[in-house]
Amino acid sequence: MQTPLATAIVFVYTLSGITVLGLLALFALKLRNLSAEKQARMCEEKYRDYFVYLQAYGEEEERLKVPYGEVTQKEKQLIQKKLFELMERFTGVHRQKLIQLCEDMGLVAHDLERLRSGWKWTRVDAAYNLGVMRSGQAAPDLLVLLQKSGVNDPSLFIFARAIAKCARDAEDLRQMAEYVVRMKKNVHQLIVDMISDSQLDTTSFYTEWIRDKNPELVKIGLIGFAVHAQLELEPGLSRLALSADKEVRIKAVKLMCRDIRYLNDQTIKDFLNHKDWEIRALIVKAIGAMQLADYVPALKKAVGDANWWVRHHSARSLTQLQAKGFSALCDILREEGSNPKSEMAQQIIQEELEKAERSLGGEPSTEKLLDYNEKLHLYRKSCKKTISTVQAMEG
Amino acid sequence: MSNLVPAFYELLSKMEERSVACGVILAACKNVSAESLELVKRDMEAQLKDGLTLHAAYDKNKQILGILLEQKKLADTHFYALQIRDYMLSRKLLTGGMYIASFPESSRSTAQMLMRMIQEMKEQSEPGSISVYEQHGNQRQQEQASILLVNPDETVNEFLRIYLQRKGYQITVAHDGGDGVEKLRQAAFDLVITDLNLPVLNGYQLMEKIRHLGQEAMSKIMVLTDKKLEEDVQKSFALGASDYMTKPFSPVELEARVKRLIS
Repeated sequence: MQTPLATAIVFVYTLSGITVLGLLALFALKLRNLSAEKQARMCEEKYRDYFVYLQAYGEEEERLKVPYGEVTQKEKQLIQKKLFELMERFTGVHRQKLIQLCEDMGLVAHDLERLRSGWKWTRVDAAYNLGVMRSGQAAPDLLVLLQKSGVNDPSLFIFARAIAKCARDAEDLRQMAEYVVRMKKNVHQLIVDMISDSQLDTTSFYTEWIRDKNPELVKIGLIGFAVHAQLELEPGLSRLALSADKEVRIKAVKLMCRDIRYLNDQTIKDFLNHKDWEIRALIVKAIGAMQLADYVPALKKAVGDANWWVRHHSARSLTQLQAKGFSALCDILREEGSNPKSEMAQQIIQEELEKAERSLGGEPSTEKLLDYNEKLHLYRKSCKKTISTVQAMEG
Repeated sequence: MSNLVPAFYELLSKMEERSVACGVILAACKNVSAESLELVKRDMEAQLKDGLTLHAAYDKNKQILGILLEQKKLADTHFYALQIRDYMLSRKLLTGGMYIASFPESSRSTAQMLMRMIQEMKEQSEPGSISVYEQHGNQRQQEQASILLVNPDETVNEFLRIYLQRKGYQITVAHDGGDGVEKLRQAAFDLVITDLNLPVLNGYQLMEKIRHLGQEAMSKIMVLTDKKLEEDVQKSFALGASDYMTKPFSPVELEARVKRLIS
């Protein structure tokens, strides 16, 4: 029969054995890391001058030449790492030349093969590599892999970004975007960010997506549209401003408020009276930014809006409309009793006067001095009237 | 005069006449006999493959091996020079550095180029080093615009140093804001290309320091960063930046902007 002491001894021996095994494993890992580091250093040294050649002649007509002599698989991996570092930092002809070099070195073919591996993480790694190398050949396989990724699969975004980088045409990007929005929510901005990595000219198909029937694509199109400056007017925006989908409405109005050509008198009035406070806030902000002084009375009215943001942006916009706007803000103090409208006007006037006073530090220009004095005068005038009104009422 | 000039003269003249590119490699080399030279030439041709036509001649007095590569521009010449160097090192033939050029990229006159290269060969002393011939080398060095690169990213620094040096600029590299200020105190630069995310002193602090250094001709500043927010652009211009570029960037575009700022 086994005594408790014998059991304890066996237990101690087992624990010691496990500890020793653990230490050996750690030691082996450390040695492996050191060996990999040494190999990387040696490879860097060996190809140092070759890398100088690559970086010096990136914009010449000829293709960059593949490394000469026998290149081991490990060396290829390390060269690939260096090429990727360069490709991720530079665009234009330099990146194109490095992409060609990757093809010539067989790195694209190698990763296309790895894309069909039985191991998931090998496929993910290959997808990432092919994305960096912008391989159009990989796009169909990457789309298949993307469509196999489930809702909770984090590799979905790796495949999606790789597709954006490798996309051959708008259809590849469309398929990717449609699948990702089906799988994940609130990813429109992220998809636009992914698409910005594409080598294609994205402006034209964002315009197409705005006109699409799929509301998710419309949202992506509107975000993408905002990223690029547009020369042409997009007639579809006015229609989208009336959309049943609130997010679409707001995004469309946001775009319209960036360009005066969309904003005729009726549109401005419609937006000022819109049921969505976001749209009212956008239009009052745009009136200030575009210096539309004719709308001072409308802004003055909007300072009394039920929503704080609309009140705030209206008051801010009035300060952008020179003396006329500031005077209207001061008039609110005079005309209104203590209510959210006058509180907002008071707050913005104070901020504006403090800002103008701060700008006088050092040697102020005559223009700044005149601006400050005028604002102060308008404010004091309105205060005096307010006080005198109060006094009269009290008297 | 080196015997390399007459040895290559006829061939170079023909190339010049036909306006065909031709790569020139000069290497400090141990004494080799005519037979050994032929052997070396055949060996090199076999190693370089690509059906390359190579001509070799040796100057015994100056101990310089001259190699001409028919129809090769500077980029290819540089690449083949790497292989030739490795071959010569493995045969223990190389005693100093190598000097490369290409006609007509490096110079319009092949004979003049060859003579100047032979003269300047003495300076290429570090064994195995490869230098590229520049037509107005010394003269140009004094006229070169100077650029200070302040960037913690080794890859960007290495690339821009190589790329902008090839374009004729003098490049100094600083890895953080503190180092950048130190280098600005030591010398004046025509342009400072800085990141905003810098260790020790960030890009904004660096720009403020540049403003307060009070140099008569203050350096122009270009911001090269991955920060894409409007506030960063606005703040950079307010602090005196003349240009703003975000990463990833096109080196061709960067060079065009640098040229505009410096001219």
